[in-house]
Amino acid sequence: MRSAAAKLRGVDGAAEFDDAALLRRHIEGDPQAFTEIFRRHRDHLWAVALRTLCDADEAADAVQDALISAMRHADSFRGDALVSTWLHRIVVNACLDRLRRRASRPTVALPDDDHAPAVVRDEVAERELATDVHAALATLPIEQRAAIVLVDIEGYPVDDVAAMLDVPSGTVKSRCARGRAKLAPLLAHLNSAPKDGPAGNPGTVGSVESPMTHQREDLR
Amino acid sequence: MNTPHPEPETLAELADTPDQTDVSAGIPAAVSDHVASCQQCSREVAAMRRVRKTLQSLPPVAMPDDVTARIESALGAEIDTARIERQAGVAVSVLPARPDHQQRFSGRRFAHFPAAAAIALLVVVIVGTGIAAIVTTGGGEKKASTNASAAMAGGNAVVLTSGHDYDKTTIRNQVAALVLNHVPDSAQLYKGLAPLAGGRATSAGGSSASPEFNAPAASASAAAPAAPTAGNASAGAPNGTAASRFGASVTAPTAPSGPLATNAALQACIVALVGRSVTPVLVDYAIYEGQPATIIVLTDPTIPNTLDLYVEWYTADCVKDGDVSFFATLPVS
Repeated sequence: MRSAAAKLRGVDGAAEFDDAALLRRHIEGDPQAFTEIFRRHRDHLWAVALRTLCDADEAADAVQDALISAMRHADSFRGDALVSTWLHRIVVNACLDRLRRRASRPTVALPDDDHAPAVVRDEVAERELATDVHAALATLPIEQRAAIVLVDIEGYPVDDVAAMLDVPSGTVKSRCARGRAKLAPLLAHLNSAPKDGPAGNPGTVGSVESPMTHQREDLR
Repeated sequence: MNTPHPEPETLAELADTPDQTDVSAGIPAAVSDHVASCQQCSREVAAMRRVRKTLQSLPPVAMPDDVTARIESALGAEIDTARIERQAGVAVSVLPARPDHQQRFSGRRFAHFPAAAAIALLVVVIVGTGIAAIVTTGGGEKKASTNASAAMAGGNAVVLTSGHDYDKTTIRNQVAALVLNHVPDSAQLYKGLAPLAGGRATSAGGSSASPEFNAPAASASAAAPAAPTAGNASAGAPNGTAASRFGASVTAPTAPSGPLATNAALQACIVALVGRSVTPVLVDYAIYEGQPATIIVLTDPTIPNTLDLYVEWYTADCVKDGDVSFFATLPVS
């Protein structure tokens, strides 16, 4: 007997229903459909939330809140974008809301060890790389951070990210450019580290002289 | 150098362009020329490239299992809440009929239901694990037992071959009476069934004296004997034989039969319906709307004080397709 989830995925794991069809089934009362959508996209949603919020607990809360909201308001999905884009947009907004709420207390919580990225190659180096990058990302304005995470880390096309963030593509490019400029000095030490060794000392983040000797004031 | 430094956006575009002399990239020659001659801007472009490379080199992350479980649980609870809200104030939920008289029920909707909420009863038209022995009881009903017996979680289930020909307008009353008459301690456990069962004037066997509809009865053994029949009751029809809406007469099963006759099949169906093994309260191999059917009553794991009733025609396949011919809820308290 195939499980319900297996049935939704189809034989041999092939997608029997695309995301839009699953969302329709959810609206029609299929109790498994939305969970299947979640399973398909959970890792990407998690990565975006974790790297935007730089806090595993908050990322879990944000993803959960976002998905509950999406589930409740599934009938608001207009179908003019991919379901995955729609979900990312809701998750990103949930993250940005959380960042704005804690803006008055800008402490940076690094990811818990328990929720550190799964690594398969050089565990120490990759963890330190992730830690340094997250620390650097946490210094960015939240809109720049979201753009960097989505475009540079997660690899989504600029136009898709523009849809997720509900801004023009040019704005995404601008935020990425300014974000990269700010990250450059913070991550410079990583480029000088031996490739097969630890990525660097988190304590040196921000202490390396910036190659950007004439950074413009960020206006966004 | 007299030209102004390009904006970061422009330098970023340049950084994204492998070949800065590629005019198709849209980089103005003046910008390229400036960067080529400006050590500062060259360093910025190189730094941006390193940043992108560093960001792209991050290992992928997977949602931790505990977070996945937590969110799936939250989504399941949300589904439960929505279901309860939909059912609030609705005593019976009858699924929309399909042209072929088989209603597809997404029974797997219960897969996420938390076990902690298991108070209600589910009456399902397909059951099958852990039953006692076949015992002739009142009303011509037979209490059957399967060979799997107490294997199901929670104990034994009562299995009947009542001979009833249920119809969708009275099945709730009939099932309420069956539970009260045959399930031990049901009068105390499911007090809410008494009005439902007692409100029916005639039994499925056509006799108002039939114990199913003179509930409550403390247990199956308390049921008054009635004429055992080879032809059992149908609503207003001779026991055991029902005029099928499809023409030919249908004889009520006298023993567990059909695709859910075995414990294994019944258990597979229950798992398909509710996502886990649940001991049914009662199973009846009978007739529903003129067709042989299995009726299953289960404790609903999510809705307290509610009896849920599922009916599965022999032609349906809950295991493979999740088909359920009828579904209703009954108040238990």
